[in-house]
Amino acid sequence: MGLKILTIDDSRTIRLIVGKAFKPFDCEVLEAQNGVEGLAVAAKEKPDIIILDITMPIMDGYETLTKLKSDPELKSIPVIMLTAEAGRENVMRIAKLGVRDYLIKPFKEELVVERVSRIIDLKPKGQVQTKAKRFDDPLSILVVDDKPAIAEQIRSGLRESAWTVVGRAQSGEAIDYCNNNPTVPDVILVSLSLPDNAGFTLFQMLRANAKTKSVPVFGMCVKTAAEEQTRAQQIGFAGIVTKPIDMEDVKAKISRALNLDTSYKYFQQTNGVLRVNLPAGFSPTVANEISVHLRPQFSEAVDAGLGKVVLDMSQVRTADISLVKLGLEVLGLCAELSLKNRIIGSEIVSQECKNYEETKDWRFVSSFEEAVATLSN
Amino acid sequence: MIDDLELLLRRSVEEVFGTMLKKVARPVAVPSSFVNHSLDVASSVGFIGELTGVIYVFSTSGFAHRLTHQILDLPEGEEVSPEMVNDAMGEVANMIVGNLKASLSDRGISCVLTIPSIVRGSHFAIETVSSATRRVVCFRCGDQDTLVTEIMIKPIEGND
Repeated sequence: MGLKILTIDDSRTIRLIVGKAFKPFDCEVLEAQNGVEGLAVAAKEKPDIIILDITMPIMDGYETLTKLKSDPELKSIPVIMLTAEAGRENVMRIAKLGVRDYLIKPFKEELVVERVSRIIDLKPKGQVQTKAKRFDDPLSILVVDDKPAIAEQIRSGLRESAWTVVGRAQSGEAIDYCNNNPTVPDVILVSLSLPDNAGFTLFQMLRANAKTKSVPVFGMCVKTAAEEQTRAQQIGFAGIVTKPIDMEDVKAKISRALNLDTSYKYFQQTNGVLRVNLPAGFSPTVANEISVHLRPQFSEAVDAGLGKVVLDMSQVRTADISLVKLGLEVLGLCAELSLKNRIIGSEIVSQECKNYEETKDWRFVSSFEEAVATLSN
Repeated sequence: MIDDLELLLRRSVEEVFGTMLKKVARPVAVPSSFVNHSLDVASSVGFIGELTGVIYVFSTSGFAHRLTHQILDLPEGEEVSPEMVNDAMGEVANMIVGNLKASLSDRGISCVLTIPSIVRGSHFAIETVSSATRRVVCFRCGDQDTLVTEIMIKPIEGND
């Protein structure tokens, strides 16, 4: 449980409504029914924000606020007044006491959430994860484009994965989808060429909405739309997906934006050996991705009692500089951690490696079984 | 004196019902004797200052129960205690008076509110001194539910 919200109100009805309003978010709502109780709870729990009523028995909101602001321990806690006592003179009096905002009863629950989320970083429940998601975990992607073929293309490009794609043609429909679903999408892709700048307006609406404000939003446009791309990056889009869409690029961008764990694709612990598999589509991007996981994966293997490493390059077609750098990094770590190692590679890659000064002494075996057998000798 | 008290009261009730309860409160003609014995829940909030008075909100206990259920958005069948109904009806009165107070404040008339109170029963009458201004506005919510609001204001000193 992350954030704490304290509601001080003599009406249980109001405290229940406030509690209900924040139920979809990862926060704890604390309650107090007058100023005295509220100050005690604030001192003990140090809430991140206080929602304070004015007319209360025992100690009213004005006195409570004055005491809060004169306590060095509590004065920095932001306060929102939630009161039935509207009117000019009240607003002036409240403003002088240093409140961050005020709301007048009657009020809509969404409005309280919106005002609070302007001050503290509310996150929907479920979005705060205890464990990083894996690349093969289910994800939901909302695609907002007035051309249905785009959503269809992305859906088709992801059909092998556990990711689901929902398409919406207009920004209003996208907002309704986000508001009416208990879970928000993990990622949103928005066309930057929607009529009347609707893609940019939608981005701002998503950022103003507590439920969607931390969801990564990518802009989609043609490569030549430089102005839209610059504008999108300036206002905070997570990135740009250019059309025609390259699905590998989309997957890589989403994976980075959500910090998805991809290590399982490259590392396996089997038969007492840590196997590092380089895929057929090995590229500088893949090399970087593997490199990020190397040290933690090696540490984990050593902690698990493994003392052998097999670097499997058998699916790689050519030995380019990124392969050489990654191989050197793997062998360097093996030396550092005193791990025995073998490299599996094709005849072509083996020959190409002889051309580099750094790799000319690498010795290759032809299969995993051979690697394991020679490591056991 | 305020010559559009009924209008201010009507707008306050409409706003509170529309915002908190998503219900339409439709003003209807006041029955000749509104305090019939079925309106057995009366919540009230007073205001004191440049204008002093009190507003009562009358309803049947059944309607008060339904309003409480609705304002808290409770699942169907969930029990609501009489204390919860009192609290919710007190808050409804508080919001109605708070809203009216804002209108008065915008006209330069300031006052503070009292905390809400509830009277339950079927055989009581509220009477005022003869010089007090008294207005009653009656609302229909849905087909069957009736809400009666009554405002009583003490004469402003210096006025007749």
